[in-house]
Amino acid sequence: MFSGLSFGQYLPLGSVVHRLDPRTKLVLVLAGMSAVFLARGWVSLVVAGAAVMGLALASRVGMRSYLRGIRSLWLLVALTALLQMFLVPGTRLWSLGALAVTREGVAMAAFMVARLVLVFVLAQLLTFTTSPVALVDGSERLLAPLRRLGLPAHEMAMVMTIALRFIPVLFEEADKIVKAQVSRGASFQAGGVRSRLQALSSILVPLFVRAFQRSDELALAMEVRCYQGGEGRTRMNRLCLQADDYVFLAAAAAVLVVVGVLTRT
Amino acid sequence: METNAAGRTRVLVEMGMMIALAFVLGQIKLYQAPFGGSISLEMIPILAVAFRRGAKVGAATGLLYGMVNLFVDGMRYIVHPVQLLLDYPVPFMLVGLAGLARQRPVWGTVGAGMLRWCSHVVSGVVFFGAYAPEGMSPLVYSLVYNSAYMLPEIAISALVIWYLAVRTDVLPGRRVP
Repeated sequence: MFSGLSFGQYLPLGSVVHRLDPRTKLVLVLAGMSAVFLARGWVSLVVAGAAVMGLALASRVGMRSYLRGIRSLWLLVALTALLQMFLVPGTRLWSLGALAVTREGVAMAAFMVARLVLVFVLAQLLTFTTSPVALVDGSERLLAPLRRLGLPAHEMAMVMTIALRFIPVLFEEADKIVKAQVSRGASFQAGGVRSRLQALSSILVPLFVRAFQRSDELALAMEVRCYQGGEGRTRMNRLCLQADDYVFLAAAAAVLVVVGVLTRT
Repeated sequence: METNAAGRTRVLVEMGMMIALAFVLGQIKLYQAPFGGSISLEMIPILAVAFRRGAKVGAATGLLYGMVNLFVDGMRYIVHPVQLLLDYPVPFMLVGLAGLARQRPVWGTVGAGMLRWCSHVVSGVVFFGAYAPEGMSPLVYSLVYNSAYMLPEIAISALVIWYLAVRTDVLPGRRVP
């Protein structure tokens, strides 16, 4: 039932982008998305696009990985392109009954698809080059200043780290329970939604019970080791910005400024 | 949330464990819609935390589940920064608000599911605002598309919550629906 399930998208390749601090990468992705959405004409979009593609090339993640991901979006891309081509008014290029493809429509379609693909590449880039645990670490540090406003950044990161640590464990647990039920004659693949749901309840309850047991055990283990929350805790891997981080951040700022200026003029 | 450190730790760990469980259940899809969105039981663990620990903890659990989902698996469906928020952290945070109806878990589930559905619908409108030409009615399209998987998911979740409340000790209290 769980065969072929991949957990996460991280590809450990050790490129310069992989080695960047997760905080830098989060900021880069946010800046990149802002640049792509700020761009109003082709020139500014090309500048933003070149920056995004440069980052993607530096990450050494193969084109194939992106293409595999874009399968989830291709319908959306096609729909966007078709709607733009047919519905934007302007000079007719080609017509099909009452529908007409316009020159402006084709230009708009290309622009929108380019924007869609760039946002997609950026978002994918983040998960290809950064492990989920590093992302949690990075967001904890980025959100740390908000602690003064009462945001429990450490606790949030702790919860997410526990979740990430136990996702594979619970997958295995679920697999074990499924096998146990199958050996008693249950069937999870056959039938419609209703019969699958009935079968699912025979794994749901043991799964819940085991998850609560595990959480009791873990909480007890943390208590006996005097876990008190974020105050005064030290960490095994301390995040520290390197020269590369500053270079990439400066480049991102420059791209944002250029796109901003191009959009204004 | 409980104030002493030990109680707090217990709640934090339970939140983390239920997020992991929600992720695992989210991978068992009863139906997958073409542009993202699927029918699964992923809301159940978040609802369980909400009913056990209240709306505040529930909402926090939902928010963090949205973020974990995004970090691990969700980036494939990102097309717009606002859509990112409205399809991941926000809808599940709204699911956690089910804790406001602790005595009525089934109705709480339906209400919270509706809130999540609203968030996905608005996200669809934002997407169409950014990518589709002017003059289309994004609201109708988004409503139809998101209802196709959200309504069955709400119904199934309410059914499962009812089952858990009546037959098991997973949820506190026995007064249903």
